[in-house]
Amino acid sequence: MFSFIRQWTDQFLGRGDAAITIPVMDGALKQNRDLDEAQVVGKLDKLEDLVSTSAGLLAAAGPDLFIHHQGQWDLLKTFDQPITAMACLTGTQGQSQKLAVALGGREVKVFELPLKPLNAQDPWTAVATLDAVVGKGLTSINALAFGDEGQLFLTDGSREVDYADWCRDLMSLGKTGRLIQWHYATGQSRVLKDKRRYAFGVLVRGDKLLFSESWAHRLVDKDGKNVVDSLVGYPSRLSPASDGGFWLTCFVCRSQLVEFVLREKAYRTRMLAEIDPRYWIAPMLSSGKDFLEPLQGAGVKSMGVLKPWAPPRSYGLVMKFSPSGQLVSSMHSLVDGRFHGITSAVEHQGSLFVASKGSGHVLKVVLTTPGVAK
Amino acid sequence: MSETLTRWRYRYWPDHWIGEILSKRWTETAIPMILLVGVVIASGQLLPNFYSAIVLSDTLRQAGEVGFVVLGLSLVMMVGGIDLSVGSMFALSNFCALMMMHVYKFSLLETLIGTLFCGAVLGGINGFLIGYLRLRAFLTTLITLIIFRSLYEILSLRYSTAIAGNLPDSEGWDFLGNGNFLVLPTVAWIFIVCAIFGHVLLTRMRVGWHVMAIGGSRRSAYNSGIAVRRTVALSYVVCGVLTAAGGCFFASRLATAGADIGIGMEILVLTAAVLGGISLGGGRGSVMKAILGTLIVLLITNGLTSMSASGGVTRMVLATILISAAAIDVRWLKNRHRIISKVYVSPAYQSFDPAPSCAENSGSPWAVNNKLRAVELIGLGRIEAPEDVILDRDNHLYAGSRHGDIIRFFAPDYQQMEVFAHIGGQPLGLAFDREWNLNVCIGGMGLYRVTPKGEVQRVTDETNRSWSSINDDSRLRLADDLDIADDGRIFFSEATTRYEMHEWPVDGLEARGNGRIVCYDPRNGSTQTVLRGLRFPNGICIASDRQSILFAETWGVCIKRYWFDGPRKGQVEMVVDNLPGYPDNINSSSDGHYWLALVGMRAPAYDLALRMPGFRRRMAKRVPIDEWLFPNINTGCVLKFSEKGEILETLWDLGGENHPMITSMREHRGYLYLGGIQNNRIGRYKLPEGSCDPEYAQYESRWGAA
Repeated sequence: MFSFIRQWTDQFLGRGDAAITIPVMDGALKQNRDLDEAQVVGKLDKLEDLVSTSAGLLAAAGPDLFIHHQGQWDLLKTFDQPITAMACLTGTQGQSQKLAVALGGREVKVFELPLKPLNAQDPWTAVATLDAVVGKGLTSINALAFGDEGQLFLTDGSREVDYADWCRDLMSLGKTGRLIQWHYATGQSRVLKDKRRYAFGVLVRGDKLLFSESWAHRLVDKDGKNVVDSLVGYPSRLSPASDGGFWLTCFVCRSQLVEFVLREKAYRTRMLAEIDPRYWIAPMLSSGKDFLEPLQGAGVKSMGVLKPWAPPRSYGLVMKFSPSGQLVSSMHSLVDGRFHGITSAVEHQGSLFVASKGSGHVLKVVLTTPGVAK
Repeated sequence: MSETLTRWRYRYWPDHWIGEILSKRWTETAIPMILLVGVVIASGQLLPNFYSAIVLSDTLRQAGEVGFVVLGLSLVMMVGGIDLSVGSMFALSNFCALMMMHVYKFSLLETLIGTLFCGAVLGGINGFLIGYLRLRAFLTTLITLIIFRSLYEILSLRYSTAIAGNLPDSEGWDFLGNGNFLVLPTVAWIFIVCAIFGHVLLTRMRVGWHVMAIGGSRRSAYNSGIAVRRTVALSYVVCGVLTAAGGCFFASRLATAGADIGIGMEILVLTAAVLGGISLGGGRGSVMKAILGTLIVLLITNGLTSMSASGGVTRMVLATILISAAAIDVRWLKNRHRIISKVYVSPAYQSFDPAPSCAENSGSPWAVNNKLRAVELIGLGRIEAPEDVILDRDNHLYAGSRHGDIIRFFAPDYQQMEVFAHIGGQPLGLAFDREWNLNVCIGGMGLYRVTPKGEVQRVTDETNRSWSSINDDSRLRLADDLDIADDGRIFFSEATTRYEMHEWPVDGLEARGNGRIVCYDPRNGSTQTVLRGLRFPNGICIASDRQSILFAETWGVCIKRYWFDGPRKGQVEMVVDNLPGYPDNINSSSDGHYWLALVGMRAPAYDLALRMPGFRRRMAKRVPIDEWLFPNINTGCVLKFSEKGEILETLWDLGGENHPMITSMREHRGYLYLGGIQNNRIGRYKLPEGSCDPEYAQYESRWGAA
């Protein structure tokens, strides 16, 4: 009873859960242009994910898998479905590497990579395939991470919408994300965490496991405990850093208007039903190209200038966390920048490679010490 | 179904009235007024004979006496002080009047003057101590309360038998106390006269303004040269005189010098003043509030007495009222602006058909292109916010800037510029009249004229006040575009009467017809509103028949035509409906058609929000304005339309890379000059050969032909 009244007054006065406050970008999140000023190492249409292997850096773009080789992106393999996630298990000396690939969000395959340099002619054989867990199909697998002893961890963003349709899940307050554990060697699989507000990104750190719960703006461990919360954006994939910390990308950022719309059921329902998804009041991977998109107050160009700190419809953000889980630094592409919608950041040979899905660019940031851009 | 209900609800229920009423100063008086009506009704119900002539007249007599005292205390409170000694002063002046009348047998006039003088002296003591010696009002008057009371007790003990033993023989004295004049008791008449004078004094005269200024901020009043000490001292003197007047009437009515006279009166009077809405903090109050407070308190105490409540209960009730009124006073003063700002914005319902497609391959005249990408830029970085542009006979280019200047760029290359005139407000629409005076709409100021020599003259800054409007809409708030009829009448639009210029997004959020079209007639110097209830009217342009104007309704996404002369005089007709963007200025083109600037484009999410006023209202409350959903004004276009309403062609700069926003355009000798209120440049687009008359200049052909 009391909580009901509380809820009602909160809603009426815009307090508590109805408050639309979002964290500000200061401290370690102080805005910079590191991503905008980074070196562009390629433009790949439908760029999705990056993975570092001992044979080179791999990039998934649509159904195509590319390898970065002498400044070029060579096509390695084309799948029948778009690649929605990748992970690589670097073998110890003399052992072969394993590459896990999620296809169309509905299927995961583990390949054993040959030891010699990779090239397009080699036939690849899948050592294991997963398309259902406890009898129910996968829907939008968006991140993979190898554990030890033949385990693979998967995050399934939503059981209701396809991976490409993530925005609908956000705007309809989706809460069907899952964290899945799969013993690909034995074929056994189980759901570790259920009813998550979009699980997106998983990282194994020794015996600990971390996954991001995007719509809840937080990172959670295996026991469901918050490791990091109140993020400024919607977190996506995680990757290990060479100093024992980890990298986290935010593929879209939060804005007060979106937070407000998320609390306005009537408007949201009609918007989802009546308006083209491109023109929703919702975060996007890229923006500003079409005048039918909604505009926010500070987004009005004044004297020909778009304010870099205008409310972000799309944004580029990579965050670096220390081994103890503290946010220590960040790299940005501001609202007036080009490289928005960052879905992946991986360390590879002393540099950080960043996939900007919004613009389709792969960026390279040379690191002096782990986490610090040169 | 539910949308129909929403539409009706927002069409017939005037939400915007609430905020407008609340922002009126008189609402603070309205609340005690309502309370008084309630108390009167309740008294009528509970008390027998409440409405009988005797009871009413008795109540009025008391009210007159107490009213004088409340008036005095209110004055002191308005100047930022307090006077607790009014009860004792009341008793002393009562005693003084009785002594003079009964014992010394003075004449009526002598008694009156003497008593009032006595009050002035008592008040003068307070005034001297507080005004000149700067003692604390509360402590000082608490002490004078005790001193005056002791004095009264000593004197009344000694003389009360003498007073009771002698009865004066004066008809005037009796008339003062018990007489009636035209139904009402004498005291009520005199009080009314005093109250009217007090009202005029406080609201219309210098001394009254000084009192309010000191109460509002003593230091500022001092700094602006007001004689603070003298005014404060004088207000205590006036308080003493008014109290003495009350005492005088009391003496003439009851002729008693009992020991309990005036005891506890300060609480009664203070409650009346605070309940009426006279702020304890000073600087706020009115005579009307004092009267209302007096009546309420008196009716309550009388009612309690006649229901045989004990004095303790009555005082308890008074104290409760005082403390709650004081609490409300403090909270209201603190939160008034916050409450008003929360309820003032009141979005209306607005529904449009889906906008026509502007897709590149749509094949319609709307299809986007990049013709404006290559415009030449004039004054890039040197001019800010040229909302409108205009060219004169010598091809010089004029534009407003947000610094309040009219800037002139010199032909032929427009590289050199000068400040042609400084006006002070943001210049918006521009038009030349027959004498080549530049007529300018200035946001926040009104309609101005700049002569060819650069002299600035005010044309008009107010129009007739409309009866149906709660806000005073006589002052022009946002005049934004104009054109001039052949007979010299200037028609100009005022975009909104509810907001200031920089608040235009709030008006857009409301999407109500807050704007109007106003006509200035130079023949008799009058200014009249000709059309009202328009949704951000803009872009006035005389049509080809010279008897009508075309105007755009920005938030109404349409162009309309209004006839000011001829057989269709007074009629309004839709010309273009359901534009895909927000129309701004309209100007004629060389081929007999019209140019229109679309300042921004309609986004589907915003169109949906327009159909959900509750959503917009909550957004206005919860979300900071920088984060609001806005009409998309980062991309716009220029288009040509015919008088029949056909869209002939559109010119775009997609993404606004070269010329980000367009609020106006002017065709002049084969070029189209582009202005934009958020721009730091003026665009110049060469119209393709053959599509225009290369010699055409709008105002030359206008005044040449007229």
